[in-house]
Amino acid sequence: MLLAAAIATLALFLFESSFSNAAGFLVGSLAGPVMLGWFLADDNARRAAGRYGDWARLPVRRLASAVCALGWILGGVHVYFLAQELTR
Amino acid sequence: MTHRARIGSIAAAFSLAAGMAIPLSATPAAGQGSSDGEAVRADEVHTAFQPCPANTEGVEVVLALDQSGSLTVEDPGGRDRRRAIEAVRQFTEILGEDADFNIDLALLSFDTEARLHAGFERISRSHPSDEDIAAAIADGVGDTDYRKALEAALEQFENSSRSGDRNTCRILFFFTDGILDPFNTVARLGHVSAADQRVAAAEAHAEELIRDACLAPASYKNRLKDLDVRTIAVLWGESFRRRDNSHQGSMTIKSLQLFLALTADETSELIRDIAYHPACEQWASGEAASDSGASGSGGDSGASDSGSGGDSGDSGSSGSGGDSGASDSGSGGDSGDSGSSGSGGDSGASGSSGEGQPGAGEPDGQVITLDDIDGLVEAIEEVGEELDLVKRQPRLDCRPVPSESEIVGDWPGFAIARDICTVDAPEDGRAYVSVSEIADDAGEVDWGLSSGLSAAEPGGEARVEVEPGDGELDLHAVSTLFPGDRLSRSSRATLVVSIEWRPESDQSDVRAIHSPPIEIEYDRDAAFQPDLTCKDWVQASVDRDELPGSVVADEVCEVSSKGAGETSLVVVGDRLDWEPVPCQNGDCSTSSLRADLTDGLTYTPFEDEVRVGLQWRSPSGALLWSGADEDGQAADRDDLEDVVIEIDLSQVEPPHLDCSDDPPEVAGSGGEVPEEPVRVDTGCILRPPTGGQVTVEIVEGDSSAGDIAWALPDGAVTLGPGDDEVPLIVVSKGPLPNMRFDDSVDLKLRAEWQAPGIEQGERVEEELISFHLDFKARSNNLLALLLALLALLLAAVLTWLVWYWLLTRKDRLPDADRLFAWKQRFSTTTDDASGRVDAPDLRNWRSWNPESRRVVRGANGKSLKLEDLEIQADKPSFFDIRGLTSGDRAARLSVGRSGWIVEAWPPGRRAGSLPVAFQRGAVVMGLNASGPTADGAVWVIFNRGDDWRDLVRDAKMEGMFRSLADRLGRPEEKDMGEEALPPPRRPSGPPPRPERPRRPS
Repeated sequence: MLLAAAIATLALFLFESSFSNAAGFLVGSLAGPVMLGWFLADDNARRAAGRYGDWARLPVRRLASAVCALGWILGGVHVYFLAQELTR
Repeated sequence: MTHRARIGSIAAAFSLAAGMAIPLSATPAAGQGSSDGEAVRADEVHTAFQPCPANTEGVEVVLALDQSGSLTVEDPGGRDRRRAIEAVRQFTEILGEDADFNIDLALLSFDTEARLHAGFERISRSHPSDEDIAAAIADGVGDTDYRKALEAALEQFENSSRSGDRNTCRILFFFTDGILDPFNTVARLGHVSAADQRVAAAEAHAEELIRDACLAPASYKNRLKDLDVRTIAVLWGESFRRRDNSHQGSMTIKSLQLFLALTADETSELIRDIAYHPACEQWASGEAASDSGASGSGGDSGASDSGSGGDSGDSGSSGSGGDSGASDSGSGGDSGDSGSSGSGGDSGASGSSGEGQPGAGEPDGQVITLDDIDGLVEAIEEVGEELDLVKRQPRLDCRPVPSESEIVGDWPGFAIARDICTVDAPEDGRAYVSVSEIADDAGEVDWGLSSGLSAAEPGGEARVEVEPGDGELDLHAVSTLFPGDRLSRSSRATLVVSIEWRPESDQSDVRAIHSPPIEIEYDRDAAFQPDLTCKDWVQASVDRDELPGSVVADEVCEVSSKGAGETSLVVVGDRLDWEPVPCQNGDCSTSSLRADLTDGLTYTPFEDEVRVGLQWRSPSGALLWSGADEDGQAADRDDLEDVVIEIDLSQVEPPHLDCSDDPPEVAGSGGEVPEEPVRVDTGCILRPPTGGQVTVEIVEGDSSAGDIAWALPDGAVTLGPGDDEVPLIVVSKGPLPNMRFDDSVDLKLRAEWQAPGIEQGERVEEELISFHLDFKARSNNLLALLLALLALLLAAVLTWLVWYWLLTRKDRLPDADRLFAWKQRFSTTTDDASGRVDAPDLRNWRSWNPESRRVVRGANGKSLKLEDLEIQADKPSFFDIRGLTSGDRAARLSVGRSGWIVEAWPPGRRAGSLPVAFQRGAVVMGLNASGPTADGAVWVIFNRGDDWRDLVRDAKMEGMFRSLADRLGRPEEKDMGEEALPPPRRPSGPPPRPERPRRPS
């Protein structure tokens, strides 16, 4: 998921405007949340097994949720720019 | 007539004949009162012959005494001559202790020969010595020959150590008792015939003596005048009155003609009727001595006539001689008249050092006639008195031309001639110095004197009083104010400074001392007229702000105003019409010239010859002086300043269209098409010319973007001299359409310089510029925002669906194989007395001995079963995001048989069939509803391998157990519990939802 967020960020600068915006949007606003859900489901399963212990100082679920929220916002920016290009 | 009176009368004529032409009544001091207020009449002024000029600082006297044999009769033993010489020695009383004033005496005697007895030496009681006197008056036997005496006297003067001193008064005291008789022919005439050759020789000798005295360049007269020797001829009259025969008469006339020539004293009794000898007429006519050669021819002829006439026949005719003398006298009178007019020139020729020196025709001596030889002593004493006065009198030293004459003060000012005279105070008495005008061009000013420049005021003082002890006084002539605009450019005044001196010894004796004429020139223009100085060559700067422009030659002329009136310049050029540039900030010291250029001037440098003249107006506006008329013409070219002004139009710097080698290639840089016209910096800079103007416009345009018109702001750019350089920017004509632009534009800029002398299209500069248009079409921001929101919404929905699928795809129940359970039964008891119900097993859980039970998975795999308990996975609702994402193992418990769950841990949200979250395990308490008392059980579900006690202890179950026991024991609780207790389980259908037991407060 972190990799996805990094790609989403880099996509703002690396690729052609429209493509990068589309990629940023798809990664940040779609792929990122899906990955988060996947993570949560897997995390729930681990917790249900009763043998799972979270990090003490860095709650991973909260961190992943924050990063995903950031990526989602960036994805929103991307989709706005993409929409701008589409409305020229 | 006394000698004094004779001297006075002679000197009066002397003074007038000297050409000084000073009417006594015109002398200011003569008509003004003396210091004590007593008026001085003109006839009181003593104008006696003054043998010494006013500036005399020493005297040389040559006493030449006749020692011929005749004196043995007239002055036997030389008694009178001794008395005379001893009287001379009395002059020493005059000298006193004054070492500065010296009287030197030389004593000589003559007859046929001349004998020097004492050379020049300061006169004293021992000089001349008694021996010298005795030798000089010893009886002689010789004849009378003036020539030897004159030559001996001149030799003394010329060889004197003070011969060059112009302030030395030189007196030749010449005493003779008889006429010229070198060969003793007169006295012995009775013994010689008229035809005797000795008579002829004597007359020829006399004739030659006269000629030598007057004609030759080194004549006695010239030598005497060069030394400024005043000759006092003392003649015993008796011998000069005899006319016993023609020879005697002829020799007498020639003798008197000689003395007349030497003294120019025409008033003497003996000489009054004697005419100048033709050879000596120039000394009476006033002609310059240098002209004597011309007269000399006449003299020669006369001399030759006389010489030939010296033949006894001619000269012997006394009648003819007398006639001739009469006629000569008449001519002499005429000459005397004309001589007065010529004296000025002679006086001028005498120079500054010759102050008081008589010119030609002026009396430079006197003839004293003695009726008796006793008068010789009186004559000597008269000279001594005169010398005494000379020593005591004030001294006047004037310059014929002052060192400095100028006009001072504000317009019109007045003149000051500085240091015209220096006056030495007299030794006694009072002196009054005044100035009088002989001539004044200005005619409207008067003159006065000032003894101090600092206090000089217009007009000065009418007279300056000088007293003994005042020392040396410098005098300046000061005029009254000039007559304003009527003051001519240059004026001249001739002044005479006069001193009236009343000696202390004789208050009635008023002596006058006059300076020679003093020429004063004062220049109005020098004082007030501005000076104009112009450069010879100037290069004009071109100013072509407005075509055809003009040229300005800066600081061409310098006008130095002297604060009187206003000045203006008249400027005329050959090719251009020049005019002075008005003064800037009041500074008119320099003047620049300006001229308008005319069409047709080329850029070839040319020169314009300009004449500049100055016009000067007085403060009242009168034109005082104009160096040029309005056409630039002047009578005197010197009044014009010629200036050559070079006009070089080629010095004009042309305009320049300077375009960068790397013009901007992209306009827009991928941005959106602006809604206003597009401005593109061409990268070109237009530099203005220093002359004319330049216009830049777009002449061609080519664009791949279609019909997009481009232009310069305002259509064209025009620059002239003084403008700043501007970058050229092209602007599209109107906004570009909203579309994508990726096109190139080529434009051609054309700069044309327009100036006089440049044909249209002659000076054109073109630059081709290219740039690229790169614009995107403008977007719709609102629509883009809506689309973005929509996309985000879709993404969120999609995400949620995926989440729901992912998170609900597996149940969250623990693995049944990993669970283990203990079941502890308990029962309730009832106190009969109080009816209290209690569950003691719940109060002592540590003593439990539970039964082990297995947890098994349900048939559908979606639930866990523990005896009557069924634990089902709790699937959250679609919108329960928290429940969906939560990691808690939520489950729903239900009781399979009669009974119900009264408590569960971890606490669910609803008792009974409430969800319960599995963490380390779960504790479930249930009650059996059958019987008067209720039995119940506690199920402790935990992970296999754990100790259930740890679970109960860690979860603080003890409190929960007691709480339940307490609630069972309270009637009301019981009632409530009964009310809360669900009815016995029906065979089918879900059990009623029990009320959650209330915790004890």
